[in-house]
Amino acid sequence: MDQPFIPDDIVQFVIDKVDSVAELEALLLLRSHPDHRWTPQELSKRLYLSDKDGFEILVALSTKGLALYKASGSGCYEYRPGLAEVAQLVDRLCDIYSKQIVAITHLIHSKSKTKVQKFADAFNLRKKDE
Amino acid sequence: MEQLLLGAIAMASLIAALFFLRFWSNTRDRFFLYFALSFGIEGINRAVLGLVGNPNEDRPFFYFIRFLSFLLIIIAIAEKNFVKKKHPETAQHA
Amino acid sequence: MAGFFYALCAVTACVCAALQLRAYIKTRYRLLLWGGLCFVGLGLNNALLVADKLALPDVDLFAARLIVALAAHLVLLYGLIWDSD
Repeated sequence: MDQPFIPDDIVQFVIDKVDSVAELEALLLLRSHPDHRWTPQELSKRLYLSDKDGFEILVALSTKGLALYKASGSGCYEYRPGLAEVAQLVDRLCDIYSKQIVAITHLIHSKSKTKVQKFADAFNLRKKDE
Repeated sequence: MEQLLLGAIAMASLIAALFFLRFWSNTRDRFFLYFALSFGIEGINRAVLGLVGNPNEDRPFFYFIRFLSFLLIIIAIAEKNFVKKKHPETAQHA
Repeated sequence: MAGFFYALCAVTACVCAALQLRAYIKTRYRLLLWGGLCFVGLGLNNALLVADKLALPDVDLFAARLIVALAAHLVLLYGLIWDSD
């Protein structure tokens, strides 16, 4: 069977920025509708998540500089990668994900089994500040 | 009253250690093992303190064990920052 | 000698607390809040121990120190039970 090839920079981007498959789906959903402003409820409904999970994902994406929070009305988020390089990475990730969904999801799942990994990550001083 | 408090602290510490042990079992991140050992040792330390007739923390046994438990935390942090772990996926895609 | 080691413990606890609380502010992962508060308590516990032994020979802070340590552990346990999914 062909060993799926994922470029190193995409692997690193997923390791650094993507904590779950749901988060990746949310990121790509935001990207596919760049002019749309998503409320957590909308996103949760679209991705079949609980409102709480949807909200947490949007907060996480904006913390990582992938989405922008707009405090108009109930508060919503839109796709806004901070840098052009990041936008390119997300574009390529979208393409690779569509072709190698298993490899990408495996990469995400092998990254950290549970949320508690964030507890240990807090003590990592070398991790680049987002 | 002090004995009750020491017993409660010992118990809380050991339970925390069990939680960290579970996290280590789930994630295989040695960081959590160090924390489990740290809290476990500190729990035992408090229990012994509660059992001796004259709980005197000036005694080398007690401060050495306390220091050891914190040393484990220092080691956990140091290992997290200075030991570069090769991610299994990047190894495949080099 | 004891004072030195306990002071070192207090400093370590404070560093842990700072790291966790800083990460909590960034990530909003609640276990980091409870862990951070626990280590604040443990730092205080060890600092009080140093004070008790060296600076305040007339006052016995044993019970107070134990209450601080217990409170710190209970906060951590609360976080581990409720917020560590």
